[in-house]
Amino acid sequence: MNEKEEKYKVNYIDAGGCNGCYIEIIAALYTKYNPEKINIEMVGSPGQADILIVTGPVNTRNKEDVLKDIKKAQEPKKIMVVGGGCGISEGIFKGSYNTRGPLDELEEVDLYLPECPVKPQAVIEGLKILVEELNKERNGK
Amino acid sequence: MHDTKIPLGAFHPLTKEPEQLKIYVKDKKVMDTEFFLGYNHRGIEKIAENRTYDKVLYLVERICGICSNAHNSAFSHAVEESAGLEANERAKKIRGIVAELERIQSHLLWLGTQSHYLEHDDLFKQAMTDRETSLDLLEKISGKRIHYGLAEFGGVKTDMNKETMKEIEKKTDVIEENAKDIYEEVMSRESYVDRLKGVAKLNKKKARELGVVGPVARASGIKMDNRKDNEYDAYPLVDFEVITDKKGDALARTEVRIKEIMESNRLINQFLEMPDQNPRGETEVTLEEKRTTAQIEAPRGENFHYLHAGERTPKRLSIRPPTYANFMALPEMTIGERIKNAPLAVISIDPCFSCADRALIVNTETQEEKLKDFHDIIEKNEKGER
Repeated sequence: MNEKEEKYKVNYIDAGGCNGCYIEIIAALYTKYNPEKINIEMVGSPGQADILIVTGPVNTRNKEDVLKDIKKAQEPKKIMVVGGGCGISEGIFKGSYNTRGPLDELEEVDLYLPECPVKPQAVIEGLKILVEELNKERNGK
Repeated sequence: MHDTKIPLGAFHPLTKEPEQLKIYVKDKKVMDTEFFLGYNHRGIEKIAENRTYDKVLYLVERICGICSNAHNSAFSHAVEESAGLEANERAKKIRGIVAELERIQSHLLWLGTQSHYLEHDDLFKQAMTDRETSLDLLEKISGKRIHYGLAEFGGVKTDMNKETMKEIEKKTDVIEENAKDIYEEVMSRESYVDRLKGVAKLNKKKARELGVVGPVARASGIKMDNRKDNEYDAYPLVDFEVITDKKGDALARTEVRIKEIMESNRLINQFLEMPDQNPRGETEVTLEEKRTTAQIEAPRGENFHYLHAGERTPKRLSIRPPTYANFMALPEMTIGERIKNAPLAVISIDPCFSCADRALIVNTETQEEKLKDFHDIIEKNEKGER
């Protein structure tokens, strides 16, 4: 891949998890797990993003907002769901009166990262896979 | 009364966790702040009523990804009181070590967040690197970086060997040294100190009235700490100081938290001298109907668990995390402040919305009301008011 190519932008959406995965994502991107090797940067708005990271089981209150934010992302977009339990299958929160997920029943998901909470190494690996796929799609055009 | 309304959220890069905040502003000064929670509500208290006690231990841990051990520990205390169990000294000290390591990583994460907001990104990086050291230790002890699953009823799940203890001793000293460096660095940077001085002030009298807890209360001069007042686990066996400050502003909260990191290291070193015992406890318990409570000093303040025990499952579990108490002080801290200081006030209480949202009370009536309110917000968004 060409180093000078524009960086892929990543945005993070918390769909109501415990916040553990988010902290691990931060740890993955800003500490020794070294994000420099991947061609990405974090952005504040889903409107600018190529890759969306979603955590949490989705609940009554945030469902509309989460779906709306996902729609805003640039095409072609990639959605990565992290959190072995709640992000992928509602996990430990399954059976609650307030959960409305998991996200893959509401939106098409490209990658799942299991374990509760996800490990920083896994976040980096997952982002690498998505960047590769995005590269393929862009170069194919 | 106000001329501008600034909505923050539900998904905002400043706080990361979803919540809605409305700040009413006039002449660049904050007139009022309002919260809209529920974006993180998972109904944990209700789920707990259908699970056995050993499973609830892991469920309450998932309330929060930062202070998970505080919830785990508090729930095990509530069950232990109901069952009449007590952990031995070794188990208590292992719990203490994990609790203090958790406090260190939580405070460092907060320090990183604040530094990042104030655009001192080198301090953010340094805090996050130090935090990795404490996470490595936690992983070595429990096998996981977050959600350690440490407590059993009347004991702990894992023991530690001499090698691990030596590593803990060595690495916590490094963390303490680095904390000292960070403290000096923060205090020597005028741009950092000036930005925090006098911001989000909360005097002692108001702090008492509003019932704030943890570092926020201690920074307003109230000497409250459950580790001293409540004397749970191994804390009566060791010597430590409750860090307080009289200033009551965001700077005082920063100082208190950094000094607490150093104090935690002192505590861990004392906990490392432990007798040779089997720290394991019971995994499954059968209880009689009884009402018990537990108060634990989580990194952010008092974590309160109320348990109405049934035979195999809780009949009612009610939890009040520290953020809920500290929320109440936010209007007091922000009203009259300049708008640029409002986010600093929010950061200075170290809010954890995944903790607080769990405590939302939902019955059919209020839920309807909330949903109406929610659609109202969406409608306003669509009109471009947000």
